[in-house]
Amino acid sequence: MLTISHYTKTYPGGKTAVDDLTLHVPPGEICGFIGRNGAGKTTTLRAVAGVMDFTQGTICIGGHDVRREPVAAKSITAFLPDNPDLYEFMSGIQYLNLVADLYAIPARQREERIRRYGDSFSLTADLGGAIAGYSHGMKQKLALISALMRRPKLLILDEPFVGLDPEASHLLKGYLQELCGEGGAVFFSTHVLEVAEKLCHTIAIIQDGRLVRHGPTDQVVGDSSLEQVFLGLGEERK
Amino acid sequence: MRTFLVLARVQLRALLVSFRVGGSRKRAASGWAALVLMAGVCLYVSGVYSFALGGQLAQAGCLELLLMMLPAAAVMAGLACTAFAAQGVVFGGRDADFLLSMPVDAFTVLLAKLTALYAENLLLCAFLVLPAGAAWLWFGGGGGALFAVRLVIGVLFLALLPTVLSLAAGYLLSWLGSRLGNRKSVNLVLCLLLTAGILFLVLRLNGLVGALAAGALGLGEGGGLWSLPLRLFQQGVCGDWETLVMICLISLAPALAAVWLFSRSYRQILTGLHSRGRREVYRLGRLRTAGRRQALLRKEAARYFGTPIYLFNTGIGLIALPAGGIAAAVMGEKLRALLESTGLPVLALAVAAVGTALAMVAITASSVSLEGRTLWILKSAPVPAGEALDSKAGFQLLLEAPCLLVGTAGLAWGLGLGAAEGALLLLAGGTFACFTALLGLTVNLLFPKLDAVSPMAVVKQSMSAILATLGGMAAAAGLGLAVWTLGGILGEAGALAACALVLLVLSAGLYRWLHTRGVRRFAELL
Repeated sequence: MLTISHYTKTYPGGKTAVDDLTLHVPPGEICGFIGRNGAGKTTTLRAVAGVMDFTQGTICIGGHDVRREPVAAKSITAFLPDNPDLYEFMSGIQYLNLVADLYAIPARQREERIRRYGDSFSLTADLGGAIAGYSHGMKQKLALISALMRRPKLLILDEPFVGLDPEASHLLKGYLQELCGEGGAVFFSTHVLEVAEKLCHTIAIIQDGRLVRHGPTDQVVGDSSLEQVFLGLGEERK
Repeated sequence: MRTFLVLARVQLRALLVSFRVGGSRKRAASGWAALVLMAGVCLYVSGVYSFALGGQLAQAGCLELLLMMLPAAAVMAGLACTAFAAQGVVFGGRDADFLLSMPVDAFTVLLAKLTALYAENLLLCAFLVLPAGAAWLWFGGGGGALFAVRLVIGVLFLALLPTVLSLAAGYLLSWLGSRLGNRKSVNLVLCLLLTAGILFLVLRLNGLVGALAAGALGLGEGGGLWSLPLRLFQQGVCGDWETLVMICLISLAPALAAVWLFSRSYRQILTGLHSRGRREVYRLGRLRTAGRRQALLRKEAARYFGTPIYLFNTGIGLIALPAGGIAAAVMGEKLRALLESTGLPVLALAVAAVGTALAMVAITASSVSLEGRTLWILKSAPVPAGEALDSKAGFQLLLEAPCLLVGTAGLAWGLGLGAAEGALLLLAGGTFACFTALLGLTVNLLFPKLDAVSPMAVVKQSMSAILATLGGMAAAAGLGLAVWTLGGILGEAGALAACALVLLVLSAGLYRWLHTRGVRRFAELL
């Protein structure tokens, strides 16, 4: 579903944020993307989502190159950044309706999906209020609903569990597994290693812009824990 | 005192950053160059106005009024420019949580925030009043170097008046916003009320100038109690040191009192303004669907009508256009008589007036910057960048179209133009509207401000908004001038048609740039 080949991002000042990253996430797989702050996770996720341009390499989603066919690639993708900055001048329902319009979701389907996800995240009753008045968690839930209701083939999430209450976190894990069960793929970054270890089929660890580990979770973790593997990599780095 | 200086420096820095273009050295330098250019234009306009008014007043034997009129204009301009800034900076700043969590008393925090507002007002007052002082000396007002010293002292304190008024207005706007919510109809009514208020003050000032210049009123009777500070200002800078001290105290005392008063319950005020009221339970019903283009236009409309500062700052031209047309239609006879007696070129003036009103509707000049941290939504959506940009220009043109139609129809009726001339005026206005909408978008892509702390910083202070408005006004003046000069060769109607054609070609050029390099620039943003 997602193929990243030799992806490199160098900023105008000359700093290379990500260097020659190659990664594949097949349909039906949840891939956890792990790394320290500033390792290059967000830069990679934004490039995959088509939000940020990059220096070298190719990124394909469902066979569509994000540079050559951005609209086709984006129409089967949903992206959620680490901070859910949404249109504060809109109400929650207006925002969801806008997203549904942009993704051409038919009226009946959008209503059903908004009701389903809105009710499960306990947000339906608040959808009439202005987003400006939402708490961080409510904004995160709204952004998640807007992503899930698209039924994307690829879901890209940057720290999706930050700001969510335990109930919503549990629900989200279930929805991610459901999406994969339907043939979709999830590529997400997290600092919560326990969640990554339990939820992800594969783990990719990035360090100083380079992919240092990638493979099935049980192979990456081995006999220890993901936390120990991650900390061990940190020690090697020093 | 040290804490105050540190906080004040931060607030002033934030103000300067809102002007800074950032990025490469070349772009930063071009930003500063544009700022210097704008300051020069402001001084030039203010200077021309001061000397023209000074000449008239000197002839009527009441030159002293110059030192009341321009300070009055400075106070009003300051109030109009910084009321929303006060709302954003003092009562809606994102740094409020951080500042209030620090071991700093509310009085110091408020005083520091007010310093930033004061700096803005001081600039405005200096730009408006100092040229008036030069005109005073030029027309033999007298006083020499001491007058200049007194004027500078007076300006330093005069700027406190609009600062205090802005603080009160900012609180009122915040309070209304928190009580009435983000309702678009409320914003629209508020915009209309504010526009009416400004028009009333301008008319009052103009009436006062006329009456005083005609010698109908004495200096002491020039207005009611509201004009007392202005009269004291004039007397103070003209030589009465005691009065100057008095005006300094009159300006300083309410500023300190306001800071003290608001600081007493600053936390409670902010808590009250930002606490969410009881929410109505939303019940999901049928949802209206729309195509992609319509959805993008709806989004632009929601932002425009849901952001009071955006609506207010760019809506005046939209109101002025049909209002001017209707006024011209009603007062047609007087207008025609005036134009006939002066021999001024009718079509050139009409198209310049229409162009000036359209130049004030610089919606696209802020539209990219206002995406700010939410730009990811548009960029990650399956929307071609060109289509996203088209929706921004299209929204401005959709708003302008009915206003332009009413405005030009009224003008054509009032000025007694024929059907062909009226149609040409509409055509020229339409092509000018296309040109300014695309120009604003181009300027905004070249000078984006995506990290602004509030919409106010984008709409009122950003480089693109200022450049697009000034550029539009210069283009309107140029258009009038071109029709006037070409009118001698092609006839006024022919000149108007030629100018419309040129505007169409320029618009096509800008459109092409937006869909090639503009799209690439849009992709690079963030």
